Amino acid sequence: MKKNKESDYEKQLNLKIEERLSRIENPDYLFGKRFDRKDYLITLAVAFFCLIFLIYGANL
Amino acid sequence: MKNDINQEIEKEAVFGITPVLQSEKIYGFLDAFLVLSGYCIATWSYTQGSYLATLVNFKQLLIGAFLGAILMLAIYQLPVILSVRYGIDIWIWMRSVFGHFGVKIMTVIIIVINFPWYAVCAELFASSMKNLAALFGLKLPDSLHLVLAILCVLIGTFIAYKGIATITWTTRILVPLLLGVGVMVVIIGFTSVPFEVIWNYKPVDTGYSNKIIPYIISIEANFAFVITLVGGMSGVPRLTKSENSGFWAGVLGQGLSGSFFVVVGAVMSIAMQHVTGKMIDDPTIMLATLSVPALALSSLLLVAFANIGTQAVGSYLYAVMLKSSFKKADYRVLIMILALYVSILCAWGKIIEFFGSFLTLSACIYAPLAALLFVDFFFVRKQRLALRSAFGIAGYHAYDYTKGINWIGVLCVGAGIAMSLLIYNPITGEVHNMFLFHLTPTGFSFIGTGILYYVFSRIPSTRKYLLRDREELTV
Repeated sequence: MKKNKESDYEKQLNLKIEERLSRIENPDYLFGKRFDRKDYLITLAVAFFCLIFLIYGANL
Repeated sequence: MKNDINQEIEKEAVFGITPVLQSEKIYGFLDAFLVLSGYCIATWSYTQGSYLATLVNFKQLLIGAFLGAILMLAIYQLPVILSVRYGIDIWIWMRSVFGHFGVKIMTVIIIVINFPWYAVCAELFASSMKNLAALFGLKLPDSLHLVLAILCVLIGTFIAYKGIATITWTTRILVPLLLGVGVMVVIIGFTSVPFEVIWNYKPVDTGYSNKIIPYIISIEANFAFVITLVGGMSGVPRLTKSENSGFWAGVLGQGLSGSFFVVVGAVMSIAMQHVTGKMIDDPTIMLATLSVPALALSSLLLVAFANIGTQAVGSYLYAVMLKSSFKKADYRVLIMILALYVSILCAWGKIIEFFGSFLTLSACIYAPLAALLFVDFFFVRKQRLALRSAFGIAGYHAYDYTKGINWIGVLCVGAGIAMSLLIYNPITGEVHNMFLFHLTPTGFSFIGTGILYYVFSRIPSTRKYLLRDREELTV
């Protein structure tokens, strides 16, 4: 009985995953706002700023 | 029975592996930031701050704690955008790096080396409670220490068991209060000793004649401290609505909130050294010594309960991570197993004594792991994953590799560990290669592992082995 329930569970889980993947693959699916060019530039600027100050800190 | 199964399946989205759809996302930036801050604010931050104060002056400590942490976080956490995009844990993506069976091994290793942190939390909770009782004139017997430590584990596990809504509300209340306590501790620290004592603080003897070495070790400590989050870094972002919210919540949750508490720990230690002659990192003793009892009491209570918040969020994040590898396992069973593991470590009673060894070992593994994910996501697979193969759907085998293991990924992790140990021995403190040491062991291991993996992805034979998923791509 328990084994049946487990295999049912796994089957249902895989179906659910399949269903969700299909929805994600659908051309109409709305993804969240993407990390765009501006976000990458901000991240790069933050990293650069941190790096400069870390180098500067060595002489304090 | 069918309904039971359906309900369980629905829970899989939040407590498990099924992709979270955009319409189901629950976090904006602020909530994600608060939850991750709750995870990062723990009493181990004080230990870190106190340790840094033995290496560098206060201004260097500020730069390292905030900017060192943010630099490392801004780089290694960039791949969390995949978790937001597809609503999946990074460990689903990691199947492309290690293979299905390889990921199972890696997640278990990460849990084994990471969870001693939570035993430390529980130990500190027990100590805090004993100190609180002492403020009331109650001397608790030593035998109660283990009971209190396990109590911390159980309450944290209970919150994780109740689910993500309870975790969210706990952190919404706890985190702002804890940040307030941090501000209070800084004020107490700066007012109990002259401002210049802290601002102009320099360690008396770092043990190194070349003063650049302790500075680099302090930066390494900050890199290693924040990179330990890599295993559970996507648990919250996968529930976040936009990619930049998920990313910045992680970077700032640790880089600002977590680092602020590291600095608080340092301020406390410096003030205590000035007043008592001893560098003490236990906030309960510091507050009891430097503050008025009422303020000390309320602050102590909140700090003590921060450990419970950390335990709760940690249990959730790592149970989801395990769930990604062992998809048949029940979320609740997994958090029970994690609680049992932490409780055993507490019962062992020597976790604080051997913590340095755990930390050393873990830092060596995290950097190559983070590098592989970064390079695989941006430069090898270029942000595109064969989702069905990653989920192990029948008939899709792109990530089966060699009996479930991608040996190139495993080899790169081994090489990354060797790179780290090649330039610095963290146990003896000996620098083997001064030139490469400037990059820090974690930084060098991260860069070296990333380059090695990228090179493998460019050699035709290994490229074919790694990129057998290209024909299956759908998104």
